[in-house]
Amino acid sequence: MALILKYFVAGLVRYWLIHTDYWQTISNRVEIATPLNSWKRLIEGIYLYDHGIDPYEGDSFHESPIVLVFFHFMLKKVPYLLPLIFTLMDILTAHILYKTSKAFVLILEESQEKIKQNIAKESKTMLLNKSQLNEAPDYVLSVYLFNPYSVLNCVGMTSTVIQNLLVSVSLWGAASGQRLLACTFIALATHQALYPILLVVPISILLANVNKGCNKCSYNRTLLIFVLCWSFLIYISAYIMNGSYSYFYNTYGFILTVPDLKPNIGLFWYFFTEMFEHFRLLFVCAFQINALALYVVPLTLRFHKEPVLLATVLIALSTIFRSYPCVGDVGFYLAFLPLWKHLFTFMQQKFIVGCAFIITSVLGPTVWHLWIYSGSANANFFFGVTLSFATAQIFLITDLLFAYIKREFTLKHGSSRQIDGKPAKLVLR
Amino acid sequence: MWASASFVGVLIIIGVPLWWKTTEVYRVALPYDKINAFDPMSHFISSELTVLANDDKTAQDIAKQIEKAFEQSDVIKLKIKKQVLSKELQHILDSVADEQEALEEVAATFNTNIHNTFYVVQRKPLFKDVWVGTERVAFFRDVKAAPTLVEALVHWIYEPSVLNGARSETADPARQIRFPSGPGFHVVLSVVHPKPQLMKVDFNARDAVEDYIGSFVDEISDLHNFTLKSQWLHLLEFNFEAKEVTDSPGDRHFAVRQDRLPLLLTRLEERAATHVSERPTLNLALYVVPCDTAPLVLYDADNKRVSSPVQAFMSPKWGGVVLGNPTQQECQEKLYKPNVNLIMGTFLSQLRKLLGITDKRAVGGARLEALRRAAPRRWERDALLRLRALEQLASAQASLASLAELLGEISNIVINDEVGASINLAVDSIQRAGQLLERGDLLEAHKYAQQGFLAAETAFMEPSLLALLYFPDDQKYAIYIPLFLPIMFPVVLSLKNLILWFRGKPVHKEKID
Amino acid sequence: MFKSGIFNIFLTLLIQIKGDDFKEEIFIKPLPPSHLYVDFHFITLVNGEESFEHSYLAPRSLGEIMSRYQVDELHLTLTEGQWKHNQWGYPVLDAAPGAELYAWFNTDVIDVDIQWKKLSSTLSGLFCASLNFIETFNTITPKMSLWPTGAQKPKQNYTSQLRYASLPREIVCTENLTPWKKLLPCESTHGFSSLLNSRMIHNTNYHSIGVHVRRMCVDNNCLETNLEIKQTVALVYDFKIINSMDWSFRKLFGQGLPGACPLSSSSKIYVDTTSNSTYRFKLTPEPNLILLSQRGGSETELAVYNINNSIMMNIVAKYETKSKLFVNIPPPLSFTRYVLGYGKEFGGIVTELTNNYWAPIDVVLLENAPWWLPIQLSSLRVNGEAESKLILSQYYSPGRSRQKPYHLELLLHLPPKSTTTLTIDFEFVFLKWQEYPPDANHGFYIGSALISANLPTAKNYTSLPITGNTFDSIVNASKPWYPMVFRTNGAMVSLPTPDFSMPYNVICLACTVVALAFGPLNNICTKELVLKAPGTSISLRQKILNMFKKKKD
Repeated sequence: MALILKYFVAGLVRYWLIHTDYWQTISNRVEIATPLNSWKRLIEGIYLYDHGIDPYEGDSFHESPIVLVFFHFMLKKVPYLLPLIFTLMDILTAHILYKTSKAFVLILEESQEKIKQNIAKESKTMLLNKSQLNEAPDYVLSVYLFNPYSVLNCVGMTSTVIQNLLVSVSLWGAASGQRLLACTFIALATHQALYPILLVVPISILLANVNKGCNKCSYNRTLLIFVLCWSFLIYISAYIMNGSYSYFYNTYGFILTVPDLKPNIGLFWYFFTEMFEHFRLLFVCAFQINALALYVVPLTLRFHKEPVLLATVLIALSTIFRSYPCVGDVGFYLAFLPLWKHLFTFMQQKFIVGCAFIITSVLGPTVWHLWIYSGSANANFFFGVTLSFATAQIFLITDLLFAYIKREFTLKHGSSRQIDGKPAKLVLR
Repeated sequence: MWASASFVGVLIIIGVPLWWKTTEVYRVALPYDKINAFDPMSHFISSELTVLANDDKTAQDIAKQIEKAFEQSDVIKLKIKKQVLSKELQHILDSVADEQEALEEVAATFNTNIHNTFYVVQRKPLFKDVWVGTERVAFFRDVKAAPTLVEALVHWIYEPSVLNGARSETADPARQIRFPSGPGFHVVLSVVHPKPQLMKVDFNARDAVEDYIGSFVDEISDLHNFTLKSQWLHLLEFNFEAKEVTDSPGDRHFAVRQDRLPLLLTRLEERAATHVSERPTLNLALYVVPCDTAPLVLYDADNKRVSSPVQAFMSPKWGGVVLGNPTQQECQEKLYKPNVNLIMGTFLSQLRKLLGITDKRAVGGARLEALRRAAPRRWERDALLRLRALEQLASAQASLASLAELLGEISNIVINDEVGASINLAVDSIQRAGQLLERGDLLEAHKYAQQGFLAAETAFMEPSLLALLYFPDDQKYAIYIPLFLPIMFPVVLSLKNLILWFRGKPVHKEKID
Repeated sequence: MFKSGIFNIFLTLLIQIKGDDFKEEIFIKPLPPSHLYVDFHFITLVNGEESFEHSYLAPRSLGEIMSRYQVDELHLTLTEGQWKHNQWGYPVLDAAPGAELYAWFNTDVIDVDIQWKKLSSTLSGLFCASLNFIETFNTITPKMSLWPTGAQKPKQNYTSQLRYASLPREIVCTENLTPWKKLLPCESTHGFSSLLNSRMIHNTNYHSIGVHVRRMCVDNNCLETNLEIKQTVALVYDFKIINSMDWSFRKLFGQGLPGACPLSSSSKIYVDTTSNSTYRFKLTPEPNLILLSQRGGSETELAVYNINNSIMMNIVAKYETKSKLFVNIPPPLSFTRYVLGYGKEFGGIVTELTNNYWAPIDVVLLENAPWWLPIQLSSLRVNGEAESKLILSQYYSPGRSRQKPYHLELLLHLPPKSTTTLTIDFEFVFLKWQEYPPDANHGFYIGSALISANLPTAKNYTSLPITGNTFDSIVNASKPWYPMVFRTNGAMVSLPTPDFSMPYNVICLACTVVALAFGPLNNICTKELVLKAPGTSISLRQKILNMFKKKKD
């Protein structure tokens, strides 16, 4: 009952906000709408497509052809239902996240059972019991439904709503062992935004764990199905655009080469505004490697026993370091944090991170207005706020990971920090 | 451990080649060694000279004397062939009335149309010791005419001093007058008519330039590409500050000092509008003197009157000006009809000098037949070819040498494919041209020399060479360090442990928590 | 396509040219209440079949340019100031502020873009104007707005051979006037061109110098063509600047007219005295001839002076009544354009077209937005409606950053006695720091829009008919349509700028944040937690390393 109420209130808040006068402002804000996902550009692309002009010829439209055709159809048939559709998609995402977190909780319980023998006696109290574990999905749901980042993302009618839905469905598919569902949806999400490709790794681990059997064949099968789905989607998109692959430059090329320097909450825009032409290619490659390739293998190797944590961290890292992030992405990974509330006691920087989030989220629009509208500040202010926001997110993630390994150590060796009765330090070696 | 290895893998194995590839300065390999080996002073031209005498001894003597005269100069190497005239031909030559017929007879037997050849033929009934006409043939009387013949060959036909100047890039007097080498020129005949309201001028500039100048430049079309143009500059007035001088009652002229003339050229340059093309322009201007200052007479630097039927002057590397003075009767009728022959003839003589055909000073005992047609003499054409080939060769080598030095010293300059291709083409052309010159194949050598010259100029003037000129190294490091130092530092440190681990030894590292 | 009348491309003109023909004319029209319009035309007709290597009166450099780049028709204008169509009526030839260049290339030319770049660079050198800034990213090919006014071969696709570019930032000054004057056969010493004293003519509200070259048919069969080279100077004087309402050549140009050019076959001065009925003025000396012209329903009275000698003369006009109220009757088609929005994030361009005539007029509106001002076609609204019936045809070519501009052409049907408002939104683009011009806060210029119309009435219309090349061809030249291409005013926007002094700072800060994530993650992945007893000696190496690394507790 309480659940239905939550859904209803959240849906109502979103639906109502879309229909206020503030909708236009919200859907045009730089933190919410980037050149990749903004509603305005979607409308422009559909308009051009409708009038027989190739939307990928110009510079304004960066969605995939599948999204183009889908929304073209929707706008033609049921344009007045679109706010409702976006709200429903967001609520659906929340529901799927609820179910996914329930499945994740089961997985956590299982993995906890496996290590029961290795833990120290005194840390037995630290083990999670059923009631604690069952609270988590409720918190996940509440966080996703009511945190302002997701609400604003939905109200702005950006295509990140769709992306969140696709990623959440694929995670649910992975958590419940449905390989085809997981791979299809992650391929769809990758086709739209490229960065979800990182999630193939935790998804394959989850699928291998849930479907008992030979692990290696599970991984291979997952990978194969993913590649097939993705290629199929690319082919379908080209088919929609009359056989031409020219949409590649406007979608994947745009994400990878970062030609548009519109400010957003990421690090790329100002860096490449002020970069010398000769080094641009090197730094674009360096930043994309940082976002896509650098942390996947080491984190997998370290946390392969805990695929849920791996998924959370990879989503968070791809949000911080991607080329065009928006608050919708931030809201999405924040929803996974309640799953790890048992780590909160080990986290040392909760207060700083929390304050930083609040302050930068409020300061951002202020200095933006000062720069763009009042003309009394300059670009450095907004850049500074963006940097602080990114730093806060980085601290959050590293703190979470440190808390995890500390808990792991404490479970194994107990909470006393003593060697032979003398005080000792906990050290990373 | 594997995690460490993966960091190393991504950063060092992918990162370092990426960095190298994306920040390298694109430089195409250049043949520096070949360029450094250039030596313009080592080029020489071989030329063929055939001595045709009545008997063997004369031929030997003449040949020996010519050889001795030319053995000093290293720029031109003569291959002297000796031949005795057949009895028939001797008889014909001795009996024929004038030299033109004699020429025809010689031409019937020997082929005088090959470039870079010359025939020295003995003919008894000569007025002077040596006779030189428009064809590649010189007549001499006998052995005693040998010194005169040698002088004629040196000062008229071959001019090794001028060729030496062309090869060495020094500014000798001949180089100061002529236009620099180039693939083509525009020749513009401008008719300057200061007062069109007072007098009409009946002169078809187009026909004049196309007939006279056209027939001249057609003959040297191997050397340069000429575009002939004409224009009328009306209402362009120039104050000569001419002083009236009365020669005799009823007869007067206006004296113009020499130092006033460069100012006329400035006025002409303002209106001549030569800036729309990249080829140099030879300006030939006919200034129609208004009736109230006619006739204008030029006075040279010593204040002596220049006495010639046509008043004209020339400016090196610019062109020439002819003053057209209308007669009293033409002034009354208000219609001026210039003497086209005289005027165009003057222009032609100016044009010859500007293009590199030097004035031939008088040699005692030798007769140089005056020009009857507009076209240059055949052997003058050969001389031009030699001159231009050497000049272009020397200039191309100098450009390439300085360019190679520049590119070698400044490592930041981008050398793209086109520049590399131009330089390679230039080097090859220069080498071929040098070889062809030594063999004596003059036309081909000139073609390759011009190709090399143009390619060297193209490479030298390429605007893309300016890219990246000013990106100092220390600023480059300031860009790399913020990102790569903190990232590479722990990775490099862990390399040691990684290697130890690969070899199976225990690992030891610390971090305080 | 232009349904309401395609210009007849087979022109009929009977002119026999032997050699070259040069004519010079001045057209003076008072623009009540306080302005004066002076237009100079210098027309040279050259036999077009001969090559340009031999010229008599025509400027050889222009001819060479035309033949070398295979240009069929060329129009170049350099303008300063804005023509106020509402108050002043229509000029003879309208020009966009700044530099404007458009040309049709011969249909034999295959790579038009290369020839276009060469043409603009050569003209830039010839006129000392910065036309070399014309590149592919600010050139468009109008499909409907511009039509050649000269003779063209039939059945050829010449629209693809057209290139148009406009540089609104260019300034016109003496530097441009001097080489322009050198192209005239009389230069600046004789004839009407001696009046073009740069100190006086740049002291005006509007001045525009132009070069227009086109081909004209010799006879009805059009087997031969002549080349018409027309050089124009259009000036609008403000009586407040010359400090009196009475004008004379001395006041306007600083000197009297020293007579006609000896080379011209006709030198005439036309003074439009139509407004004499309301603002009476008297001309001294008396004009040689008064012409009455009925054109398209409106009457014009022209006073003609035929100058054929070299006596210095000064035309003086004295106004009899000094102050009168003025009622401005707007011309049949008037327009205005402005930029909407505040702040540097979003904005809009509004074009208002007013049709004051009792019948509908069809116009083609060409909006040429530069690549850094992305306009959104979906936001195009005509009188507030999205899919309006007033748009008969539309052509849109979206732009790409740094590669091509945004090109929108609309064929609009303007209803009678109404104002049509077109709005289109744009976004501001954030450029790389090296792409801003030296004074970044001065703003960026948006060029003017082109409005092509076939006006049904000749009210306020002063242009020459297509087949004519001198002013006397406007006498009684009634036609069914009067074609005209108008330019609206330009606009200026201020783009948001980054901080130009900070490249290394930004690099350091952003890289620090990225490295901030790398350190802890690297440690988490490659090391493990152990308990270490305190008091163990720390090696020197470890001490130094500890100084570099952060301590977490």
